[in-house]
Amino acid sequence: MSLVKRLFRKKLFVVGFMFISLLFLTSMGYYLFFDDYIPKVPLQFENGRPLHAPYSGADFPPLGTDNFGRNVAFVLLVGAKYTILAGVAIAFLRVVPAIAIGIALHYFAPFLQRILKNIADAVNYFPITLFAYLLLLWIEPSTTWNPSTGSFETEERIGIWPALLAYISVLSFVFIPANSVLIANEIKTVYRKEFIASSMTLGAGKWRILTKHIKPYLTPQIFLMGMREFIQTLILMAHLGVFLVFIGGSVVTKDLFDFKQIISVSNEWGGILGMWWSFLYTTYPWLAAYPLILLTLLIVAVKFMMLSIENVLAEEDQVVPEKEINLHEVNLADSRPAFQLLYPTKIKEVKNDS
Amino acid sequence: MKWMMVILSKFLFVSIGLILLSAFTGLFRDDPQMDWQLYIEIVLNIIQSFIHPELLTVTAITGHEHQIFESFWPLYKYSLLIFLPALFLSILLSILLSYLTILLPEKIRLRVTQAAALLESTPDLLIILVIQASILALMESTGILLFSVAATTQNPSYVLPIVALSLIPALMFYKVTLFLVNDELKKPYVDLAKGKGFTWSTIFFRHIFRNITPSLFSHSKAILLILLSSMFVFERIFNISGLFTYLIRYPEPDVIAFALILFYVPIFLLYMLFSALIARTTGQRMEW
Repeated sequence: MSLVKRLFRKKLFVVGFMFISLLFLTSMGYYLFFDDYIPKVPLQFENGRPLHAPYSGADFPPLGTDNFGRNVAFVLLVGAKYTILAGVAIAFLRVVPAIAIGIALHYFAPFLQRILKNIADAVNYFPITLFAYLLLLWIEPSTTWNPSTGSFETEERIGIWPALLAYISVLSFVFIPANSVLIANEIKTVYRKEFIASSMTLGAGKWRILTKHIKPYLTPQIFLMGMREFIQTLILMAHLGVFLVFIGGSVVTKDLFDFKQIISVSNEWGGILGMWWSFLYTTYPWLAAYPLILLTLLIVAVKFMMLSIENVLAEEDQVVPEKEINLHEVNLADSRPAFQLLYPTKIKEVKNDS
Repeated sequence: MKWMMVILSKFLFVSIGLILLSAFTGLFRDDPQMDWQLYIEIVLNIIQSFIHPELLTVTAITGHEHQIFESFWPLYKYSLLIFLPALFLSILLSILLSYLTILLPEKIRLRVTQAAALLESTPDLLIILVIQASILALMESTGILLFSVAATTQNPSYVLPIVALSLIPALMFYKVTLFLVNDELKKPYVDLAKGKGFTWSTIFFRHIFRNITPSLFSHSKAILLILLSSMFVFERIFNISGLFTYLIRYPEPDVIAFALILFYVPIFLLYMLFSALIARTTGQRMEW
């Protein structure tokens, strides 16, 4: 039975998969049919006095509004697809070039592996959020001190699409060296297996070994790697959000009280988290919690999928001897002369169908 | 002697890598430009300011130029005082937790392993949120401030950032430890030790622990990196004016390279010490 089919029999996998795809499809559908319309609430008054803007969920269901008067639930729904798409795109760009480089590294330039490993090691001691932040500083609206008026002035520097491109490429290319080394190592471990040697004896070339023998081992590992990168990307996006670097750039908008505020264009969750984080210390702490809880749910869903893939792979590897081995017998075996059959070693695969 | 050379060359490699990466950020300061000559110029600049430390200056927003040593060391000390205790706390916590888990029956133990695998990828921000929100809520209802939530320059906060920082790495380390211990428990020497009448704590701390130390050591690097990355965000959120906040305020390539290499020094020394200790007690030379 194929791996995918077996995966869909795992409850955990189905739960994770359904959660992500439902979220994505709803958000996408909302874009297609309602064109990302976010209901807005005008400034509210009580006895003629204006009420301060984030209004609670009790007044404006389901989740209340933010300081721009936008309905939070819809903001989050609109942001869902951008979050998932950006995460998938970055994870893809981190892994796919790494596959090609890893294979090339293993076959043509094993001597480069040590150097690349050391480079990847240095990346590790450079806090990755700091690195991404420094590289992305210029896509933020610039803040300059204006001495004549005595105030800070903000202006946007580049458009949405170049900013998006810069964001995605910076967040992905930093990780390619480390991933390439990982994939080259993975290929190396498969090469150590016995059947590769026998296959080579029978005259298999590099290409045949790669496509027939390495591929089945590598594919699940690559998917796992991609999911791990997806999770890390989400966390990194949230971190960058705290530093007000948003995917798709940010624009300066006026809120309900005409205060200038930086706002994330795409409403992606990391950015929303950063925008709303400071509400944690006000009387509206729930605003900071919403995007974070959703992000956590998304991560947990991906983790569910990863765990079940790992479980299925482990089941596949597992071979159980038909007769239970007596530990004493095994220990005795070492003292006996070589080439003596001790017990029938019938080994069969576990039936995973159950 | 040869071993020392390998380790020293390691330090050199990482330093060079950090210099090259810091120089790379220099290309992106105002407008990104891919100019090799500029890049080489920045690299040379960094090396020059390492030879003449008085060239390490930052320009404040008002236009004044300062030597970084006017304010650098207290920040460095503060960051290290949070980073290193957090590292030790996370390792200690995870070992303690895995000892307690071993005492559980096997079925529950497997469940716990899975739960740990699930929990380890919680975003660190969520943990901060929960901690800060609950302390604020407690403060609101009872008026007792357990720990100061955010730091100020006069009143640096230590306990809360250290605890919050160590939780996620502790979970990751706990998962790895549990995995290794589960493997180790299947080995016959554990049965033998049990048969001889050793107590669980003797078996765990004297035998199992010693056998898994080398693997733990090699896994610990991943945890270090997560810690380092979280640390950066934590400084912002807890309003800690530490090393990384300083780097954000003054993103000069030479200052960044200098600060990061200095931050790597204690980590490097710790690793050297531990690998020497492991070599002495278990006879394994670790490569890291």
